[in-house]
Amino acid sequence: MDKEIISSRQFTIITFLYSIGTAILIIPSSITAASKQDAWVAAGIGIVLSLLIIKLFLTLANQTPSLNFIEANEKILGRFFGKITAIGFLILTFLSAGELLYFIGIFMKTEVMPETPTMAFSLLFCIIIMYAAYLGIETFARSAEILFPLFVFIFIFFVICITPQITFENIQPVLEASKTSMFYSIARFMSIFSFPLVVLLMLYPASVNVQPSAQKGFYIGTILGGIVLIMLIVLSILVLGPENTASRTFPSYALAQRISIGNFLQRIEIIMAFMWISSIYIRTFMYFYTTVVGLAQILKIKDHRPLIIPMGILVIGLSQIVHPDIVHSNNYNNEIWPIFSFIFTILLPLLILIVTVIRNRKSNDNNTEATNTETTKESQKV
Amino acid sequence: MVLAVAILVMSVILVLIFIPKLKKQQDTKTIVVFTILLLIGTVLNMGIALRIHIPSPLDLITFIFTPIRDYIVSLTK
Repeated sequence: MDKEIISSRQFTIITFLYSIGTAILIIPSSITAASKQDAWVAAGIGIVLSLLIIKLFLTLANQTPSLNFIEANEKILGRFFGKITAIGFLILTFLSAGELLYFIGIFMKTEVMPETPTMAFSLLFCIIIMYAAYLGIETFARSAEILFPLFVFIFIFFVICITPQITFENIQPVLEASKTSMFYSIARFMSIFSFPLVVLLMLYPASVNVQPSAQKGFYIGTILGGIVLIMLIVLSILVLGPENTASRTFPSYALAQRISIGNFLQRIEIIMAFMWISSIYIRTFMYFYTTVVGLAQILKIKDHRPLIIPMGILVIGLSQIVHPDIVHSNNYNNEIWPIFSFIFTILLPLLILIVTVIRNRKSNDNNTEATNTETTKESQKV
Repeated sequence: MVLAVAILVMSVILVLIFIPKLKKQQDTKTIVVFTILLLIGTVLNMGIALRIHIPSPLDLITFIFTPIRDYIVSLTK
């Protein structure tokens, strides 16, 4: 299989759409529930902190410039221990892929077509994902490039149309949230917005053509994505009010339903739904692609393509059983997912980075073979 | 019932299409992984079609991480 290369501009666009991903659907309600009208402050702090996380990811990626994240696991943590951590990481991406298919199904079912079973949406969406995974990341990056201008145009149109509905009393009083609720809402925001960015390390060092400008693109894409999310959160609070935002499942869709200009331009929310469907497509693809390619790399299979169809069938099945109802999904995403993702997306890269630094230092004065086993043992203690 | 049979037929068709191709390439490992994944996927989807209650895999993860969550919650109170 030949190596696929994407340009740094495409990488920026993928980062932008990826970071918006699911966050656009579920973040406004979950963080407004915790910190009421100060949710946008929490989101702002979360975005600043995510820049630190990206710094960590980039430092890690630059240690192994020709390998992706799964290969780096095996190379640095050793064969046995690296495989275990990689499998843990793949379980995370696999479950997330199933969960995102569930989200797209439940979103279409509750808001657009109430009588169609969620299976139908999951199936159709998964066929697109499978096809994209079959064609590879070059094609996928080009499709992201096509979606990007449309996304930006619809977003600007959306913001302009909703502006007349703003009531500023909704956001007052400012800075009233307690420290605890602020901590929870920052944790929830970051766990969905910035922790999963580690999945992009599957693309970044190995298959990007100009690495320095891709580094810049990583930052720019995240900051732009963060700005979009902050604007959406602020608008939902300003237009719907904090209580109403918190009680909705998909506040940004409710926001789009409020658009009404001169009683003439209204009910255009389904055009707005393009924004979240396209960004969720990017995110689901990245999770699915990571799962398939990572599995092939762990098992040392040269071509990952034959695994796409069985894995797709598995993910469709998973999307039906992953959450029995929306309460289960809210509980999981608010309370368990931040901890679960923290372990595999922050602690694991940190561990790999520490082990790399120790190894580099030791290999300078000792022979490398003896230190290999030692560092793996040390890393288990960490 | 009809759905479950349809899923089974679809999987058999997939096997008939893919396995001979992979056999030609002499790729035993891929065949094994392909078969295992397809088997799990087919059984799972047939279970869903027959409306058997399958517990969510996230319940296991919730079970593992609940003590940590309780610890963090008790710290912030």
